[in-house]
Amino acid sequence: MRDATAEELDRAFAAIVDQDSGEVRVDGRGFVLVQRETMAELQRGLEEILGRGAESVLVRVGYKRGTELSERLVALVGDNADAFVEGLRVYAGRTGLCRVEGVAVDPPKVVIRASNSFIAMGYGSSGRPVCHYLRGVLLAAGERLLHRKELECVETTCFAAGDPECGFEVAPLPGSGATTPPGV
Amino acid sequence: MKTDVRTQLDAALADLRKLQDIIAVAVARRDGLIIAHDLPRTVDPKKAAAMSAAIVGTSEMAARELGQGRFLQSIVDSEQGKMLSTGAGEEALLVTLVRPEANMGLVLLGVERAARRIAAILEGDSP
Repeated sequence: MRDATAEELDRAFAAIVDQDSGEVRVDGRGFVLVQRETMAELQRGLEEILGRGAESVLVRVGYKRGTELSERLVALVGDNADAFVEGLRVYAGRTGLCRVEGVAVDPPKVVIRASNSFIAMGYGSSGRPVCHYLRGVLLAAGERLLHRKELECVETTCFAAGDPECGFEVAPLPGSGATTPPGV
Repeated sequence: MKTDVRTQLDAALADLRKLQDIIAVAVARRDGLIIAHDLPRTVDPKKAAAMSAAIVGTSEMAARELGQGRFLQSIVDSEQGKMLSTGAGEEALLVTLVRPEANMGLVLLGVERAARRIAAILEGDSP
């Protein structure tokens, strides 16, 4: 393992638009540019049918993507928590997920502040936090940073709910005590 | 305190499990995260919790859409048993797997009592 520089992270997560092939790629993976309001409509559609059950779908999908991303970041930056956080910040910014304003690793929890969450910006006003996909991504990242499983990610503040920015807390599930082998 | 919550949850699930005809039990958050369970090894608890959250969410929305009032419980009745999903406070669900021939009156009483107990534990109101 080695530590990637900020430049290397920038390069790894740069979006490459190939108009000839009709592909957008980031870090070798195919992406599609979708208006954030469209993503918000998709989430609203799920919520209309599944109610809060929609959260379970969105968190699971985010967690899967977050797990892949965390593995990729570890491959890029090695066993370095600061570089992992920097990689997360670069990836989130480059792919339009959000701007990561701050990450505080304070075992047994991680607190993350974010602005411009794609879903919060596209959703409009909501009585509840709406960034469920991001919760899943950050839950996976938190597992790596805290070297443990049995965690939850709660969105404590949300732009869509009238807060100035979105806040997330990754912390142990109620009553969980088990630890698992280190991630990062 | 955290271990205390786990101990109390485990005790609540164990007490419910003592009822005849109950095969397995689980507590999940309403957003689909598993908190505690006693599910068979063949079941993926994370997936089961997410599915229960989706069933409850859909049932709540259907009850509201059809003017049936507040959601209380969903029952999935299958060949080899029943799956009950019951609200345990604002943030949690109690999932109970029951034998097909179960005395549902007794089971429902036990499940409702356990759901109230679990809600109190998770909300910190348990003695």
